[in-house]
Order: sequence, then structure tokens, then C-alpha cells
Amino acid sequence: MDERVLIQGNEAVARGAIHAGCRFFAGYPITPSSEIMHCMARTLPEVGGVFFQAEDEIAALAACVGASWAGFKSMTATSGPGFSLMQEEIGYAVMTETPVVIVDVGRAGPSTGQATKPAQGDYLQARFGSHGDYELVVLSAWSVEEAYRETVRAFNIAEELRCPVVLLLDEAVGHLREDAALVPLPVTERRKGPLGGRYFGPTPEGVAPMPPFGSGARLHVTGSTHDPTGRRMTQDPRVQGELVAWLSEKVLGRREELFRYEAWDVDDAELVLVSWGISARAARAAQLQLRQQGYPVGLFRPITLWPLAPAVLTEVLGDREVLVVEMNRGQLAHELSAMLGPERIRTLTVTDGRVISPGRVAEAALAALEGRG
Amino acid sequence: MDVREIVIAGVGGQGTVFAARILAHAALIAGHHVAQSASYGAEARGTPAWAGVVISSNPIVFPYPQHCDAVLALAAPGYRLWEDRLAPGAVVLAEEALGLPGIGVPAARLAQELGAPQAANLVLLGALLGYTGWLARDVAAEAVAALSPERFRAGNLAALEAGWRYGRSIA
Repeated sequence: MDERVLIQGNEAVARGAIHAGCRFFAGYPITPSSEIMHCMARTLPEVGGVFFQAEDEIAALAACVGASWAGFKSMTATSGPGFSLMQEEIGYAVMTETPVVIVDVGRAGPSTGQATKPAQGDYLQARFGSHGDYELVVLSAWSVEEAYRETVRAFNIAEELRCPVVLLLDEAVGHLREDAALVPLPVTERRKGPLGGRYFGPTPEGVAPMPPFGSGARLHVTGSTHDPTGRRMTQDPRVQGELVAWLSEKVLGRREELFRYEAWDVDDAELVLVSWGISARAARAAQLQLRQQGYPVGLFRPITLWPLAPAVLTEVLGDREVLVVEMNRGQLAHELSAMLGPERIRTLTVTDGRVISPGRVAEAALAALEGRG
Repeated sequence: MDVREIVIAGVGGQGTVFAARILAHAALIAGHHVAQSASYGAEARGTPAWAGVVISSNPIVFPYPQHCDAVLALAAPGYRLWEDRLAPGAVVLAEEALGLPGIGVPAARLAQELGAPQAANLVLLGALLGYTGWLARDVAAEAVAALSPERFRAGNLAALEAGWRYGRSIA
């Protein structure tokens, strides 16, 4: 057995980031994410990295974008109120094709809400929060060990696609301490060359290389519409159309390989619970208990929250009834309704700042099974 | 050990989370799977707070206590959140001065006598382990030594030991 350590979810994120090669962190402290910042502040100087406490979350993410262009893998961490402030810079990172990892440890909102209580209310903001048409990648974790693993994956995806990647946790996972094996994982390095003149948009090899500032490439980094060297092209409809399509398609074109999930007992299920993050642990406990009692209930747990892969969802879920369990007013359910049709989607939603309990999930699952008629 | 669900309840500032971290660390040293959770307010002190520890020989699915096998009560407000979620035969060890149901432990007085007034939490934790034998005394002491800041280490170890002896004496 791998050596297991007792570690907090937020600390595991920091460990994952350091393992993935993160050498720049900028942030503004906010409960329940601050432990990530504390760990990065302690650790980065020991590994030759830079820690920066910014004046606010907008500046924090802006600094991460700048550091990424200086050649540093970069991360920030925040919670709902700070995540809202970061939306402008998320769009800038999308437009400038900048790899950066943003960790949002969800707390009960809206606004300052309940700072120490968990929620999953930032799901739609994570994928839709900035303006304009774009796609990015949103990952989740239901355990401390997975928080470590998905942090490493977030960095890898950010490098492969040159886009911001959001790791969406919740207070419960962020503050949970549990035994975990933090094993070495493969790490994707920055592709810094060749210096061929195309640094934005598609190249024959796919995503363009990203030479760091000072390495000799002539380019311009701008949030305005631009050509492959970064030259502003703010009147040209063709460039605008192609760039917007590229920024989305480089993500959506890989939706199936990006879509990581787990499924249990779905094949012979008449009802499938769909749940993510800490809610999925309540759902799993309920599903195990219901199966023991002979009820045909399965569980599907998306780990990648965006992009979802409709083909995979259709293949795994078939035409089964679905009960979406989440700590918001039905945000993942909203997406699943659009993809699978609203008729078969039921929801169990909790927004009282408490972790949903296995008992409530089991109750809702039994009601759904009975309601099928 | 199959599964044990333990809650340490009090108000913010009493070290409920610290005691839970020590219990969780001891469980890890003993080779168990463990999950430690907590709930507290945005205020640093004074509002209801609790910390939960789930210990199991198998990987833990739901990491929060649901039906407590033990509650350690340092203050009534935290205890009230859990009094109706006790498993049959649950052990409740409460600071004696609170007059709560369960077994009274003079945790504050013992900690005071040791010159470690901050360590009533560890007196109660020691009492639980002395009373139930769920984890060995030396494993708990190792966890206390590992997690205590230097200036509190000796006092915390003494508090754990005093609690353990008290727990044994009433077992």
C-alpha cells in the first residue's frame, strides 16, 4: 500500500500544484480557500517559486496570467465572492490562450453568504461567468486524494489546451482531512517553441506554442481580437469569427477525452443518481445502502464538470431515470436537462449550507422509484 | 475496528478541531482509514462548534458522523447539535461542570491542576480512549507530540495522560 498521510483537501491542492510544477501563486485570502494560499506561501520559496498576495482577486488572477507569460505555471485560489471578481480576467486568459489554474472552494452564497459553510452554487458561473462566447474546463473532486489528483490534471489540461482550468471544490472537501496517498503523477510541460510566428489560434499541430517573454519571439498579448502573432484585428469579421470558434472548439473538440467520471451499478439500474463533489459521497453512501436493500439504483459521478460529453452520458445512462443530487438549486441538472431531455431528470437540491445527508438522498431515491409508477 | 463515529463538541476557541485532528492522526498511525470534518462559525470564538472523526478499517464513503458512537462535550451549545444523533450505546463524556447527560469528567479542573488550562479538550480525549480502549495510549501520545506546538507539548501530553487515567478509573 502507498504511504498514506492525513492531509486537508486544501493542502492537497497545494501539494498537487507544486507536484505539477506550479511556481507562481497570487491570491487574496478568503474562507474557505485560504489554506491553499497559506501552503503556497510556505512552500513556493523553498522550490524557487514566487508567492504574491494581491490587493484583490482581480489583481491576483491578472498576476497569474502575467506570470504564465513569463513562463511560470500559475495558480490562484478563492471562493465565491472572489471568483465573481475574477470573471473578467478569466475571459482575458481565455482570449490570450493563457494556461492558468483557478481553484474555487465553494461556500454558501450568494454574496458573502455563509463563509464557513459548503455549497456547490458556482457551477454555472464556473463555465459561463465571463462575457462573450468561450469554453473552458471545470474539474471537481469528492475527496482529499482526488483534490490532489485533479489539481495535477488541471495543470496538465491548462498546458495542453492553453486555457484557464477551474477546479471547483466545496468547503466540505477543502476543509476535510482524511488519509490520502499523494502519488507522483505524469506532468505536462509547457510547449515553448518553435518560434515560428504563430502563437495564437490553431496551428497544423493544434494548439500553438507559448514562448515566454524574453525568449526572442515577436508577439503581442491582447484581449482584443488578434491574428496568430497577437496583432490586433478589431475590424475583421473573418478573424473574429474564426478566433471565437477556435477558442471554443479547441476545448469542445476534446470533450470526450476530457470527460472523466465514475459509475457504479448503472447497467441494471432503474434509477441513476448523478452527483459531484461532496454530494456524491452522500449519494454513494445512499446508493450502497439501497442496493443492499435490493433497490435497482446506480450512481454516476462526473469528475469533469465541463465540458460534459453528451455521447458518454447517453451511452452510460441510456434512457434511465436520473436523480441529480447537488448542493445548489439544480445547476448540473440544468445542463443534463438540456442534454438528455427534462422529462427524465429529477433533482434533490440542498442550499441550507449543510452537507447533504445520505438519509435524504435515500429518501429522495425511494420517492423517485415509487413515482415512476 | 469496524467503524467509529466520534464528535467533539463545544464552542469556538475550545480546541474541538485540534482534539479531532489529534484523534484522526492517532487513528492513521494505528493503521485505520480516517476522516476529520468540522463545523464552526465565521467568528473565531464563542459560537457553537464541533469536529467529527470517522475511523474505519475500510475506506470511508461518507466522511461525516451520522450516528455518533461517542460525543465529547466541552460546552453545551455544540453538544445540543448532536444529542439526538447518538448511536445506541453511545458514550457521552461531558465536562462535569456543564451538568449534561452522560459521564461527567472534571476536564477543566484536571487541566487547570496540570498548569495546562487550554488542554481540557485533550483531557476529554484521553478519557475517551482510557474508557473505551479504541486506540492505544502511546499512539494517542505520539499524535499529541506530533501536532502540538512546542510550548504546549508537555502540557498537552500531561492532559492526555490525566484524561486517560481518569477514563480507565471509571471504565
